[in-house]
Amino acid sequence: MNSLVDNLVFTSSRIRTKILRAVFDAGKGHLGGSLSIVEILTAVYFGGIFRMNQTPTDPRNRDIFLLSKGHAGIALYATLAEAGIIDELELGRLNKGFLLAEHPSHEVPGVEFVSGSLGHGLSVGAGMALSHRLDSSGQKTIVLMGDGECYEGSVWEAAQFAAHQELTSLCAIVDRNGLITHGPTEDINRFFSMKSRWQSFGWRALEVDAHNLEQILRELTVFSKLQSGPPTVLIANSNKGQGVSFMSGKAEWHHGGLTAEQFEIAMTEVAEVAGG
Amino acid sequence: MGNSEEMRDAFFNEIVEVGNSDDRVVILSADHGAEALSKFEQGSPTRYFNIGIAEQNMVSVSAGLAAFGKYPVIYGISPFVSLRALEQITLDLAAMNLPVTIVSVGAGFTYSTDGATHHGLQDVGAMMTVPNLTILNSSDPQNTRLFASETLSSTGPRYVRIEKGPLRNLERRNPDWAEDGFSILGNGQSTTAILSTGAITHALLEAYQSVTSTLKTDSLIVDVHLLKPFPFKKLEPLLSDVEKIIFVDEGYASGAASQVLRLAQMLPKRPQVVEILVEEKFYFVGSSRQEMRSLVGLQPIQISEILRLHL
Repeated sequence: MNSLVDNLVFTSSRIRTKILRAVFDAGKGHLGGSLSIVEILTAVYFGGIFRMNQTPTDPRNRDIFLLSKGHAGIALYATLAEAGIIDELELGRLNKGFLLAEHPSHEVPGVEFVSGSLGHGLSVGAGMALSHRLDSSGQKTIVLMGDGECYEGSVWEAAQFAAHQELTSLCAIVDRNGLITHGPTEDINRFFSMKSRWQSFGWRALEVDAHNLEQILRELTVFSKLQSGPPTVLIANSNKGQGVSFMSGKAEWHHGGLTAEQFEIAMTEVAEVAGG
Repeated sequence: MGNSEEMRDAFFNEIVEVGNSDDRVVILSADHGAEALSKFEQGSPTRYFNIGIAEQNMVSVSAGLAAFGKYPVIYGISPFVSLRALEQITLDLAAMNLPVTIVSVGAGFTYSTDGATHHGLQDVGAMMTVPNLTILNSSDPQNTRLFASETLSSTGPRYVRIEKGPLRNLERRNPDWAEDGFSILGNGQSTTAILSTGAITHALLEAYQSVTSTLKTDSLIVDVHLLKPFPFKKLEPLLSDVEKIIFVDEGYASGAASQVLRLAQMLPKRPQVVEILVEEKFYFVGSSRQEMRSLVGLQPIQISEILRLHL
């Protein structure tokens, strides 16, 4: 696994540079919550666990990834570009009248479902997992949510349903960066323990370090082999703005633009992470 | 009511038949029942889900099912399945254009005694704002069964309002009514036409008969079941000489009436539209449907008074 992890560290670094460049070119974007999910996306798309590169015309022969926290669309686009599913040129056209808007639509190749309004993806993913169970197709569904998204009541309608239905093939990942637009979740409206909250809903809940590829890969592999039991949620403890020192852990980088100087510093730091 | 039939049975008996012959049909209910549904649940337990009182989840789960080839039929009470889940319907069903049939029971004052929280007066207006959505409004067992039978041929989301309780079949003069989107119930040549939608059509017909027993008139009477996309193109030639349209609906002006006003704008004689609707306010009254209709002016005798003024 170590050589795989080493390679994926470089992959993550390349995805981060794509995110930074696209947001710099576009003038603004959701940087913080995009940089916090890069290792998760890398593990899902390049970890060799899931079938992520299938075409949509092949509905029963692929696994499903839903970006429920649609505001991190640029992170998904950068990942899809890294996977060769969309053309890297598209990233430079973000918010410029072409296919890519800040929040993704299903018209973008590789994007399963429209997102941008929070609190939809888990229910949609549960429906997909239910469909796959009816078809005995063995497909897995992964739904990536934000922790701020968990304020939406519909998330808990979905959580209750998925647990009651024992949707084993469904994995929710909560990007637990602890920050919403205006500050820390625990100051603004407390979640208390995110893990025990999900456990109380009947989920198999685990905490992982969102920037530790080895841990994420290990838990996703365990999930992928489950044949029965409750759905899985990974509480991925993350750092908003991960990889860029001046954004790291800062709520104000939820959304914004970069000066040329900031862009150069950020690109250098992201490259250094891979080098180290 | 010689040939009357319980409307939910008319719909769900047909749905069960469709569902029994095709395992892509999956039924979800927000803890709302019907006799035929219990039979489906017993026969196909893996394709029936009482999802609990969680309409938003029900809509989005149905979207996930439909994204992988299922034809979900989801069922709830009118205001809850429409208004509470409006964003889920808009984004997860309509933006994705998925073939989900939303079955809404509780049109108008169906749940009259339950009070204002349960009245179905606003749902059509809200659903009108959703792109890609088809809105179908039942007025008799025949069109109710049609909506159920078309489940597997739907290519996008549908909002189907079904009635509760018995209604008799309407007598249609246009054999292609299913494709037309409306039923011609009287094809008179008067320059005043009468349009209606839903169960109130029966009250309108009663009112019209009482008027014509003393007043010599012969009007075009049309029950429109396809509210969105509204059948403008097919109605236009029928109404080309009309100078006045009377429209009857057990709902607010924001609903089907909005389309009738658009229709009038398209017609060569720009007919005046006389609306017989429910005034837009909350009705904090516990009363029977008949009494509620009486309160808002939709009893046959009240409708006939307005008809008398305009025919």
